[in-house]
Amino acid sequence: MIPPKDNPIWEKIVKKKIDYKFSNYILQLHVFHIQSSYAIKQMDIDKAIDELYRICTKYEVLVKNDFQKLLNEQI
Amino acid sequence: MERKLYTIAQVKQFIAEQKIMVLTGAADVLSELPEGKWIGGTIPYFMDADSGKKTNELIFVDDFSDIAEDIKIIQYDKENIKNIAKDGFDNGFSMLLLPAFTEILTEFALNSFSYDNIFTNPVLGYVTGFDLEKAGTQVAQIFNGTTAQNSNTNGIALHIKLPKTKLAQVEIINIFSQDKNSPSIIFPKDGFEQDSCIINGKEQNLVDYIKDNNIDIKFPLIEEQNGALINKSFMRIDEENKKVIFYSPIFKDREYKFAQKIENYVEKFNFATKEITDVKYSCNCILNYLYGELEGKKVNLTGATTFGEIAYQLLNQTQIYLNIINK
Repeated sequence: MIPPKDNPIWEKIVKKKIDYKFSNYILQLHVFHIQSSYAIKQMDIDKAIDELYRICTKYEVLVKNDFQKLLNEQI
Repeated sequence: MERKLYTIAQVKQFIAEQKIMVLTGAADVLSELPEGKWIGGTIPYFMDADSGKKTNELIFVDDFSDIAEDIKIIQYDKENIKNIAKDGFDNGFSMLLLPAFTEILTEFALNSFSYDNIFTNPVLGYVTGFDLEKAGTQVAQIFNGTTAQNSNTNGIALHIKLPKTKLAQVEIINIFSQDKNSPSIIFPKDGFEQDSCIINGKEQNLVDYIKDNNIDIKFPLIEEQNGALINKSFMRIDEENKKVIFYSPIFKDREYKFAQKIENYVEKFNFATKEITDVKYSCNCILNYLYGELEGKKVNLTGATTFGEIAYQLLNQTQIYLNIINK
């Protein structure tokens, strides 16, 4: 399971407040793209979270282990 | 179907059987093929099932017939390549072939991350090339199997629709890593050609730095993209104009580092791929084939040996592969 879209973890990823490297290529690239776009104000926070959540939902089977680790690290 | 080299006669039979394929071979052999559900690209270098080899007679076959629910074959130019991901199916992937040293490749390499839906489904494939011994007399080409026509300026894509229960996953294998002792290098502009840059905070000419520090340009510059190591291979140094020309674009304000030197490419590839199974597609880079002396040697993943690899973006000196997994 990936966390719901209102979980603060999404904002932390977009704003690079969490230094976590995803284990699969699509998420590595997508997070890089989202963080870069947000940093240079090409994307606002809501759009960034929407995009990230959309891709993570599509690739849930690939990213669920990453999110389990990530959420455990946050506790 | 096993991913390996086949004769023209065998490939003609596959086309007659309506197989959905990406075909890779020399221009002369691809030109002999009839219309069908295939796209093609010119490359004469391969990692075949038994070893690395060059051939101008055989064709490497990647067959997607068993997984495709539907397909679209679309030819692209430099204006509409931005639609590559948007044109794909809701669930599937797009095999994209772009000819080397063309405007469409430059456009894709510089801008792919800004294309609509680029991360929704994998966009993967390779840059087509030619026999290096015939450079200057041959050009990179793509073939559109639906018309059996070729082009040396356009790209070609095979969009594949997957069943709802399946998901396409593309991954990369980079046998290089950033040298821990490398300086940090930041460039002031996007582009394939670079001169002045900021090295460890100090403005310097990259050509001067490479010469002064005996940097071996067989090894790439590497950028980390949130854990993914992305290579930028050196094409050549233009000493007269003090410029470095790369095979894929450098982007401004990002941090690059020199790669750590490696020796045994075969060992590196086989170690990196030892747990990878059920590969539906793979290709590797001509620079790995040449610098790693892979001709006559075997590495685990077979496929074309290309002038650049595509996995959402243009890659260099990288092996890519595709798995089809259950959702």
